[in-house]
Formats: sequence, structure tokens, C-alpha cells
Amino acid sequence: MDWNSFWNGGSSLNPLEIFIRVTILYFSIFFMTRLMGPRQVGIVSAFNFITHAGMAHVATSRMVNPESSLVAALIIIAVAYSLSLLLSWFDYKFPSWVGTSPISLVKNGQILQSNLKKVYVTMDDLLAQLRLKKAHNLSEVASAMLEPMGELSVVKTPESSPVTRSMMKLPEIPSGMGAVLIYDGKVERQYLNTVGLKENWLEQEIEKKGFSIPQILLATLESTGSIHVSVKSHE
Amino acid sequence: MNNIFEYFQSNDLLSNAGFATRTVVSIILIYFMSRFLLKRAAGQFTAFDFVFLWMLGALAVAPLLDGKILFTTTILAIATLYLWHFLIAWLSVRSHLFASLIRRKSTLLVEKGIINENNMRKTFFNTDLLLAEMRLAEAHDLKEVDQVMLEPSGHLSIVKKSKHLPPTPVDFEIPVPPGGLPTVLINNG
Repeated sequence: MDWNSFWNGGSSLNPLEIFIRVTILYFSIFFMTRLMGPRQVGIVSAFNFITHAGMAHVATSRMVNPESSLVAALIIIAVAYSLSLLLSWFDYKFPSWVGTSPISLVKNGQILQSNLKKVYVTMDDLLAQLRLKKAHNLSEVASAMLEPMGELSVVKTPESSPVTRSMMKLPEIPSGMGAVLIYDGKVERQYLNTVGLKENWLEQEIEKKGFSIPQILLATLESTGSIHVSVKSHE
Repeated sequence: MNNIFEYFQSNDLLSNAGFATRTVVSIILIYFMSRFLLKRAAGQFTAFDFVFLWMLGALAVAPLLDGKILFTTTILAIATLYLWHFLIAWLSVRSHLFASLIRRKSTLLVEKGIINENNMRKTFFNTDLLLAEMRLAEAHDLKEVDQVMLEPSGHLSIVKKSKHLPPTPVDFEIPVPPGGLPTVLINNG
């Protein structure tokens, strides 16, 4: 195996060299996308998508093209993703640069024609989007705004919205997301400690339900305060 | 008439018929690749899944861009990508430790109606963006929101305070029919 042509490009690649090149490029992209974090949503999504697409192309052309340099590919990927990260930080720090304010398209059932023209949305597109958001009549729409990521957010008038608990004078109930207590037969001690629960309390609660801890696939503390368990299937 | 196998040999000047023949092979290759994809690749759609799909596409058409590139090379490269992709997926459902090392965690952005500025800074999420995402989830005011979690896919899951939620049958002690999905008994005759 000729390491110089492997790293810097040569006349041909044998199967083993292709395998190693693909592996190196796969993991470099893998770690770079992880470093980027969950930033593919939001206002800079088009920018991030194009960066990812471009880098995928750089990686693949270096996988199959023997004359291309692998070192150059790794440098390109590192530079491009670092720059992309820096630009994302600018977007976060100076939102006014990219314009993150929403644009109002409907106000109290009235279409704002001049704004519609500004953002190149036709009346038919607007109605279609409203229907998809379950606002079938324009009179039900208190406000519709075009969000920076290109989606329409719709506020319906209170008369056409569902009844809420506070309107019915119902008492408040705890809301929130369930927290994991047992994951695949193992107790999440860290979580128990932070909320001040004891492990033997959990054991007793599980026993009350007729199970033992190793039998549990997932146990969660629901927002209502009760414990919900999912039992492992017998193999 | 050229021998059809010549189209699949390394060639500086491939004829139009050669490219047409290679295209048929590329599309069939893409069809079979898509059959063996992990469901996750299309469902959760993290940034990496997007890049992975894009790499598969670029590899499948590489022999169409350059007559010198052989299908054997691209198929070997695709097989290597699949190998690593499935190996990582296989390991992460079997080892919690491995999964926690390679997967991003969910981040709490709003807790009990209060923005967690530290987590916002860490994830480069600014307030304008948070409010925009909340409006899309029909939570128009920070007062209405109990928790906002940034999921690894980049989407937000939003929990409203109970006051602003519609009541459920339990609140009126209405008996409920059993839930679940119906089973199809007769399909198209």
C-alpha cells in the first residue's frame, strides 16, 4: 500500500484503500455534523442545508476519485464546518442581521396585501397554508404570521378556539414531561438524587406493581406524580 | 454495436449511449439502496442523516459525472458507508453508554415558564427563534408555557401549562370508550 498516494492522491486505489478512505471521511463528517449541533432548523436552515450538501459532495468525490487528495478533503471539511459554526454564532448574537422578526399576513380576518406581496406569497398559497393549520374560514383567524423559518403561525380567535381548563374553572394540574426513573433495568441514580428520591422507595413502588427492577424496560415519573412502567418482553 | 460491458470500464470519453446505460444502473442502485435504509434516516432526520443520504446519492451518480469512475468503486464505497451506519445503529440500541456518547441529548430551553439562558447560549438559540417556534406550536405567550425541550433532531417539544390546555373526559368524569386503532378486516374487496 502506497501511503503517499493514499493521502495525497495517485493513479489508482485498491479496494482496501477505498474502504479506509470512506471510513475516514465518514467519521470526519459524522463528528463535524455532531459539532454543529441541532442547528439545521430555524432561520439559517437553508444555509446549513447547503453547507451539509456541499460537504457531502466533497467527501464522496474524494472517496471514489483516486487522483484527489484525502488530506485536502479533511482540511476542506474542517474549514467549512468551522466557518459555518462561526456564522451560526453571528446569527445567534446579531439576529437583526438575518432578520428574525415575523411578518404579519392576516390581522383580524383581514388580509394584509402589501405584506403578502413583499414576501411573494399568493392568496391561494395563504389560504392553503391556513387550511393546513385547521383554519378553514378567514373570519376565524385573529392573526397569521410568516415566521423567519418560512412557516405560517396561526392564532385563531378565542371564539373559534377550544375551551381551556381555566375557562371551565377546573383546578390546575401538574404538567410537564415524564422523567426517566429506570432505563433498561438500571436505576437512574443521578436523577433520583437530584429530585431527592430514594432508591428503596422506587423498589417498593415497583414491587407494588408486581415487578422487580431488572424486569423493567422503562419506568417514568409522570407529570401527575404516578409511576408508569413498560415491562421487558420475554425473549 | 459496442459491447455493452465496455460502458462499465474506465473510459475518458464515454459515449452518450454509455452514459444512458450507466444511468439505468445508477437508478436501479438508488432504488435498492433506499430499500435497505434505516427507517430512522427518513424519520428523525438529524443533520447527519441528511448528509448520509446526500453522500449515497452523490456516490450513486459518480459514474455518470466522470467516465473514469467505475461502479465497482462506488458500490464498494456505498457498502462501507452502510457498514458503519448500521454498526453504529446496532451498537447504540444495545449499549446505553455507547448511545449516550454519540447521540446528542435533549436540552431544556424553558423550565416552569422561565427561559434557561445558559442552555440557550449553548445551543445558539436566540429568543426571537424560540418565540417563533412557540407560535408555530400554538403557544403564543411565554406565560402559557411550562416546558420547552430542544430535541436532538432540532425540533422543539412544547408543554403548555394545564390552564391553557383543553379539558379531557376525566375532568367531567365522562366514561370513555376503549382507545386504540381499528383493525382492517376487508381491504379493497
